[in-house]
Amino acid sequence: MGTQRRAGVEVRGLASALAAAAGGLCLAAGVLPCPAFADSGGEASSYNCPELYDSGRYEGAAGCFASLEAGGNHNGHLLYNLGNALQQSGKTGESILAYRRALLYLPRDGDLRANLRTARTRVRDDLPPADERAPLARTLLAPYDSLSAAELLLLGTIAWALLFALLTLRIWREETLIALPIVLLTIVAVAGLGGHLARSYQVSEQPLAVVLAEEVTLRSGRDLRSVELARLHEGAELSVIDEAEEWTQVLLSSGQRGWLPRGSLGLARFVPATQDR
Amino acid sequence: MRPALTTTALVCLCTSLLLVCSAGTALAASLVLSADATALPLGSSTQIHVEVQGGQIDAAPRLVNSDGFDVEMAGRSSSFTMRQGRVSQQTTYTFTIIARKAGRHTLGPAEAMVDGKRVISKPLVMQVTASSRAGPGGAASTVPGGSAGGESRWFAQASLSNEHPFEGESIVYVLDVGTAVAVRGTRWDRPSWGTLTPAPGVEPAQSDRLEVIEGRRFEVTTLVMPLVALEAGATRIEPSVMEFTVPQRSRSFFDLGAGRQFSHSSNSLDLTVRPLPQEGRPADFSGAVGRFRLSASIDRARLNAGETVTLLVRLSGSGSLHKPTIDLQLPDTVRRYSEQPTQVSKLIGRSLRTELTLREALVPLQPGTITIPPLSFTYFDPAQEQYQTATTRSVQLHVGGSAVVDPAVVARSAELTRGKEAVEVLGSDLVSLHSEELSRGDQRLGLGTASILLSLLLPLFGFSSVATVVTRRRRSGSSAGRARERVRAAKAALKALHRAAAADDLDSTETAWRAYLSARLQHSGKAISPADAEQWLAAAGAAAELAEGAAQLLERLESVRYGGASAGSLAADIGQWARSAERGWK
Repeated sequence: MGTQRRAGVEVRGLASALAAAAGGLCLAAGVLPCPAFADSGGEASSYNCPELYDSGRYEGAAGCFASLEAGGNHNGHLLYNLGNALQQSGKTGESILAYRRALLYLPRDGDLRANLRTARTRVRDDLPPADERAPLARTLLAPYDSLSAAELLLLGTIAWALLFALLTLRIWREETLIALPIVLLTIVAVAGLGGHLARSYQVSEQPLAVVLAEEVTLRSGRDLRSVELARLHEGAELSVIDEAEEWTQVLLSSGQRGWLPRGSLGLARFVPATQDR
Repeated sequence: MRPALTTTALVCLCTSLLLVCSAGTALAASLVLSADATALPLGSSTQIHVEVQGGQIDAAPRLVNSDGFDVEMAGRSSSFTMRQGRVSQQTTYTFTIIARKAGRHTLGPAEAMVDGKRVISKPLVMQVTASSRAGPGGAASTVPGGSAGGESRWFAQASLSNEHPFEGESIVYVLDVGTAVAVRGTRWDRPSWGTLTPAPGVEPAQSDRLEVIEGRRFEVTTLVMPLVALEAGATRIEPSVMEFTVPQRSRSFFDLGAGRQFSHSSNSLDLTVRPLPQEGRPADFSGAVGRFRLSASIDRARLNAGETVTLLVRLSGSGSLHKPTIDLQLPDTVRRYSEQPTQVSKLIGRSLRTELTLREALVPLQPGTITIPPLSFTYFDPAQEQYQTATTRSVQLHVGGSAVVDPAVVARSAELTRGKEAVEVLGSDLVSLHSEELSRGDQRLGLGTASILLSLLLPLFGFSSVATVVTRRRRSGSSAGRARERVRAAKAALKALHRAAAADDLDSTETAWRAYLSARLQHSGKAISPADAEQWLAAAGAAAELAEGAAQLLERLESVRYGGASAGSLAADIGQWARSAERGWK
């Protein structure tokens, strides 16, 4: 295991540019501090987590990272680290869940995808992730898939602000040559804000689920006496269709749908259900 | 004309009749008697054949005379042929005959019923000699190593095609194994070959036949094994050991009969391998011994630069090849991509045939005529006991088109492709931790976030505000502009009025005054009457004296214009009124 951690803040292209632009917007709007980009400072114990990991105490590191998240640090890097620690602890299902949650924040992170791939090799079921797209859809929706919900919102907001700035200029100066930028900005603003709403709805209402139990039976109904449809194992990735009482209706990538006990699943949401605020 | 036609018709008719007659002759049934050998030792056997042509035989043919021979049918075969549009059948009966009496005998003729007709062949004259020839194989043999009186049940006889081969030469080891009893299984233990080795990639050939030796029927199996002499000097091939399993009569119902094992050894073989002569040995000699032919061909002689032509080089012959080298010299303007050479060796009869095929993909890079020089291959011919060189003819390529732009790139990419190998995976591990989790804090962002909310609402409010202001300004801006315009017009008219009054120019004074009134009262001044002026001035907030003064001045003007009254100081009075009015307006 290579223990050298990545140093410094990696410049992450569009995300950094968007963050900087949004930060500027916040300052311009006179809203200080901007909550999304404020340095949370961290606790003294947070610096022990990587040390625990590097010393091979993976379960301790996983608990440490989890407590940091419980403390309000909801970000992809933390979840990525949590996934690494869980995977090293042998908890494949939980590590995949952490990686899938980290993907909501860091959809373009190569390290994350590589480690998720490694974790998937340990899954017993030969079942592609439920949200895997067909090649054509993957190509067409690449801009949408490569941006996180926050980035979509920032993009839409910036485009929105620029759009109204141009509209204001247009009616003030009676400029007629800025019609094309206005059209483009309208498209970007609608796409960004609409994409954000769609992503938020998807994560909230139809999140991806990961089997956390070692083995669980997919049933045709919300009853232990209902027909057994399939046997699933830890780490299988499914789509949630519905939730009712202690049962969750899921859809497999094979097209089969059925019910699983809620406790056997983890849902890939921005914030765990217990911390949802 | 008519006689010529008649002659032609007759010729055609005669030709047709001749063809039909000849076809009938060709299809007539016949019987042919033949023998594999017409001279044979006493007690030995050979096979004779009765061939029935051009008809359907009713029963097996019989030999009218077979004195001095034991005759036994060995088999029958049939074939169909198409002759002159008709199908004919050919049936061959094979008989094994054993010579029982020495001397000159007449065998046959053969007789058979074909299509209901009796057909007779010509007889054969057979010579049976009293002496017999030793060794197995051939038409007649004695049983080697067997017990006296022809009582042996099997034999194994080994022999070599050449007992004095040259170093590197291929020879053939022949093993004849005969069994006179029913054998369920035979196993051959390969002997030690001494300094010889089996030819690589060639399996031994096997053939079976029936043979009568000293009056006994033997099932003879012949194994042929190609060997290559590796080292010069005397050497020995040890005896081959054969193991026979002879079935035994079952002692009970449940005894399936395991059979009894017997073993029998062949003779050993001594041979001397001769060294290759050093004298006259070419420098490019690669060790090939035998007799070989070399050929070279291309799949097309004309092509464009950059296209590919395949050069096929074929080296074939009898003998063995060990890492043969054929040097192909090409000009620098031709790139070559060699395929893996293929070498095939097989036994044909008692000879080892080897064929080596080289394929070269050639890509000429420059137009012009390219000559591929003759290729050569040096080998040692054991029959002539000297080194020989097989050569090809030169091959010419006619290359058209234009030169390939960057030949070096083509060559380099080809070399790179050939040199690549699969990456060896040594292990796997997780990518290390990210260190920026704390500096990022909470990455969640929603529409409810204050900054986002403000960023969305502020531009909207800003735009709305500006839009409202602009709209209002536009609305109010039209009346103010008109007012400013009117003030400007009034000032200009006033200035003109003062100039005209000073000059006592009544016409100009009147024009300027009416323009002034129009600007101030927002009415067209040309049609203004004294009563209108008084009324409008009062409505505009002017003092009553000023309004009355304006009405009186207009009345005086009308008197001057239409009543012929004297103007007097009217222009000056108008100027005076204008000054008063201007002060009042301010």
